[in-house]
Amino acid sequence: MKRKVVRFLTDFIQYFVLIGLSTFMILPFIWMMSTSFKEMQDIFGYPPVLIPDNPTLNNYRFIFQQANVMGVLLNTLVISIAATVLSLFFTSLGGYGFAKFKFPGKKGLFAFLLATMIVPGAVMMVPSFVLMRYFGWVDTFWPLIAPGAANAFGIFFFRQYVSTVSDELLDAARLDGASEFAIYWRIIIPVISPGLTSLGLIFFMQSWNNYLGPLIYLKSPEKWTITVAINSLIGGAGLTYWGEQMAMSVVSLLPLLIIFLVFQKRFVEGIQAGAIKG
Amino acid sequence: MQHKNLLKVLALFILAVLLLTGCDGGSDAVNETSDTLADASNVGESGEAAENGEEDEVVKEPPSGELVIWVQQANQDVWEQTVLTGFQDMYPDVELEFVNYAPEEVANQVALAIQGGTGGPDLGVTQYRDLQALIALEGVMDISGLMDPYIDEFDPDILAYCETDGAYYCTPWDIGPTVTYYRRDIFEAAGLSSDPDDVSGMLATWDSYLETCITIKEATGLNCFPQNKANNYGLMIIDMMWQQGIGFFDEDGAVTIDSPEVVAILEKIGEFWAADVTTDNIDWGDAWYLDLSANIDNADTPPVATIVYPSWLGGFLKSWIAPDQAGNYGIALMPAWEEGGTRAVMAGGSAFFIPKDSSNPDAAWAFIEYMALHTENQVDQYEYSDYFPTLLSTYDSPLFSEPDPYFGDQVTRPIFAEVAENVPYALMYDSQYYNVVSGALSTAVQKYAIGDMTAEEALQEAADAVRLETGAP
Amino acid sequence: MASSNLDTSSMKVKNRSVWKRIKKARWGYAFISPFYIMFSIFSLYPMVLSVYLSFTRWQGVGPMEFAGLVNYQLIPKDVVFWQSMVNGVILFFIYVPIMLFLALVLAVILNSGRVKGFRIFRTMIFLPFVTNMTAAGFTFRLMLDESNGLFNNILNLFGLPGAPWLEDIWWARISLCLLIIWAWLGYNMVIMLAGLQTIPNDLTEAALIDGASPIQAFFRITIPLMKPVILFTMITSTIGSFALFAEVTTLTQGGPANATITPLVRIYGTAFSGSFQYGLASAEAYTFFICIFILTILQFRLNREQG
Repeated sequence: MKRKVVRFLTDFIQYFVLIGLSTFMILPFIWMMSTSFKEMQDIFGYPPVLIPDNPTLNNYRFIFQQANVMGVLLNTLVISIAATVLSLFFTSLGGYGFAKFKFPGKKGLFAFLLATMIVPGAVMMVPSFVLMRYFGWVDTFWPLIAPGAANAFGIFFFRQYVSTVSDELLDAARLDGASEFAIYWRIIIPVISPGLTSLGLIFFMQSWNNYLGPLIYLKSPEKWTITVAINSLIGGAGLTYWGEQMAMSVVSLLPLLIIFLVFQKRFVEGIQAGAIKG
Repeated sequence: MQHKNLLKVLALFILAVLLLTGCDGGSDAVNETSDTLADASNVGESGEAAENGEEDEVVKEPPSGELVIWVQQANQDVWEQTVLTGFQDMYPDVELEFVNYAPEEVANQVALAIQGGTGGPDLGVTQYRDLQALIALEGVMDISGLMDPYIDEFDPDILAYCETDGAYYCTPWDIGPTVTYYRRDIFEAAGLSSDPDDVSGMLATWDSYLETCITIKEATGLNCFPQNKANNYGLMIIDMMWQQGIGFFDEDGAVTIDSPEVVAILEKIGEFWAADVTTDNIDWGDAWYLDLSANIDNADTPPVATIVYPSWLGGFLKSWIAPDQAGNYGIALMPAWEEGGTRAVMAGGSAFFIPKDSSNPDAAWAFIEYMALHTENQVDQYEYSDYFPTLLSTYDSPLFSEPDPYFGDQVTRPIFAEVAENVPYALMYDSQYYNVVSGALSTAVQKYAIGDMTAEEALQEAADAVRLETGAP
Repeated sequence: MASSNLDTSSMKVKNRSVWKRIKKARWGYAFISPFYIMFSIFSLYPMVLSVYLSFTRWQGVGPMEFAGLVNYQLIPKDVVFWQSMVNGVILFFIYVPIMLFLALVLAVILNSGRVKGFRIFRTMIFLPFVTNMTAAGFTFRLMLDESNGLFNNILNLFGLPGAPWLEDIWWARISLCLLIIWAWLGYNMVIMLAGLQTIPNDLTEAALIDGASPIQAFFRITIPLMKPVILFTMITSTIGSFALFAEVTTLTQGGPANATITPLVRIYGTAFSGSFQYGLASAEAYTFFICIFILTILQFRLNREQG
């Protein structure tokens, strides 16, 4: 009997904690959506209402018509895809090189790479700007795409991943006369595609959600990404367009939410792989 | 064979990215600006004619093409509600494109664009406090030639905000002469006169202001003005410095904010906090709007009796902050530091500037002329917005003798003119480090207000931070 | 004839394998060089330039003039910078223990296999991780508004007074931590889950059969075995707590009284607003780096000593 009580209590507590925290996690999303359908006077009303008496589509109309949210989303999409593809390509190439080839200085080069991972991004923020300015890349997408190719974590990840591919498979291909690049393209890539997907999802997400980068480099509104566009709705003289801002926030989340829900497994795998192998 | 396919795919992809990112967009603008200064000064010859609203007499191609203007929403609204259509009629070939940022952000973004060498606007409007910093970045066009015909139209102290080393880099648009806005109904409820002259007398100095506040609080339970502690913007301390002619740096270029005079100012503000006559609502927050707009009998969110703020607040009060309080407000002079002292200060105000890399300086100057150098247009904008005009010729307008129904039919505009004339000189807006100092000052006020430090310690720390960042003694 | 044949053929074999090794080495370099080229341009060069910049007083225009140790002499007096570092430490000690504890608890609960709707809960808790911090920060700002925000309204509905979420130094820090925990709890939970799954169930089951309570099993078995995972999340949290930017600029702008400024926000401010001191900002960045480095090493050492 006591055991049953204890069991019940533990279950109760467990569900309590789970539901409580889940609610806290979901609440901002709900509030964001709710606010996006409210007019200004309803937003700060008391008592708080989830569904406003006079729901409005004006906020959404505003962001699609005046705030060019489709253009902004397109910018964000282009940048994120380009950065992800570039990143995956360069780092998987390099990871393969480290995993399956012997060459002088390999250990040293790799250790050096690891060492630089410790340097925080803050150190590179200012000189990167100077560099991009020198290239004439300010107010273009390039500063947000190109550095992705230099992602040290990616090399680390793919070196681990590719090392699981059997050497015999590769040697057999070589004996068959396949070129090295073909081996990479036709054997390695398919084998590591789960890893490519997982890490690709994470890179994509990081690029999509990036705020500091676009803030520094994207000046013209037609080049903005979604995070900067949301920020621009902080009006002047305290006139924050809360409703419109929440509408844009909702829109900024939807693509990632959908991607996450569809690729949940891969997403989680990627994160866990990075952690456990680290 | 696989290589060819791969290369094709890669090439297509790179092509797509290049097309979409338009990576040649920025460099074109740079190439176009080489002859702009010459073109711009040609436009200037027609300046005097434009002031009378006539077409250019000099035979010259009218400005055309796209004009990208970075400005805060409130300012754009003023143009749209008054004279913007007139500009579009006059220059039909100019395509206006407005980009809005928060007030401080316009300057920040322009600064970043200047530093990045690309991506800035063709014309910008920002507050005086930001301009010298932009000029120091060498990103603002020298418009001395264009401004020459108009020099006498402005108060030289105000022109100084736009001037560095004898050259002019911006055109003043509006200024913010500061007064005390007071609630007539609250003064009356406290048993005090609500006549502007009487109220001015009651608020003659900060000390007598404090006494008045205490009287009102005891009689009605209402607070005197909002003055947030933890997130204070430092507006009040700057007002009280400027009215005494104390700027951020002295004649030797040394930092002033830790001087005994400024310590005394901060402690004076502290007296108001200690007397519990202020609300803790931060400027431009929702509770602050309620402070200014609530009915006198509103028990949940009661109003405040006064606020010392510049002229442009009037326009906001009338249009969206407190339209329902029409007739309940009056204008009195702001307090002086001591008996007989100056009762005038400047706060805010904006100017037009043309970035060096502007791709359409002709259109930009045409816009500036139309908005800022044209008497009637300035008067119209003033009437709508209470943005006090900088063009001296506007003071002759009949508008200035009209009573203002919002302020209980008080004839208010000459008061602002008088204040504008009396503002003492202090090294404020003509310093490129204005924002650095005001940021440090507001942190000092915050630390003092929440009781973390004494006024002296807080200001000392702020002054040292400024010395660190600016290299000033 | 046999021996000479053997000799030449073995030499041929040797030559071929040497040649293969060199050929292989060539490809090794070929495969890593695209990355290394990009890395040198976009990572290495900035790191080096940063060092040089830290020895100049450059403000973005004109030539970069060497100025010696000026910036580093100023750093000890850079009150706002050190405040940002202290803030980073304070924030770390507020949110990291709570977040990691909750993450572990959640992971244990979900891992127990006795929860219906495991996937739903995991998804819901993980969802904030994919949110961009601009959207989240502004939403939180809306909810934490002192007079009109949802949180205080809910508290008022229960008869409780509202809290000065963004108006008080410590409350602002708590608000920031609330946002961070909201964003990263799911991520840490998922990592803990992976770590838990490497612990064989027999161990805990054996302990429970032997009479240990679930709580004892948790503290005596689970936690020690999870050490490496916990350490990993602690280190990523350390790095994370100093890299906060969007969270700060959207939620508190570093206030009140600079109580929530973080190092990255400070460095950005020094370089890109106000005085545009690229040199000082670089010096601040390197000082920051050295401090983090020491902190990370300390964490490793502490962990090793605790065995």
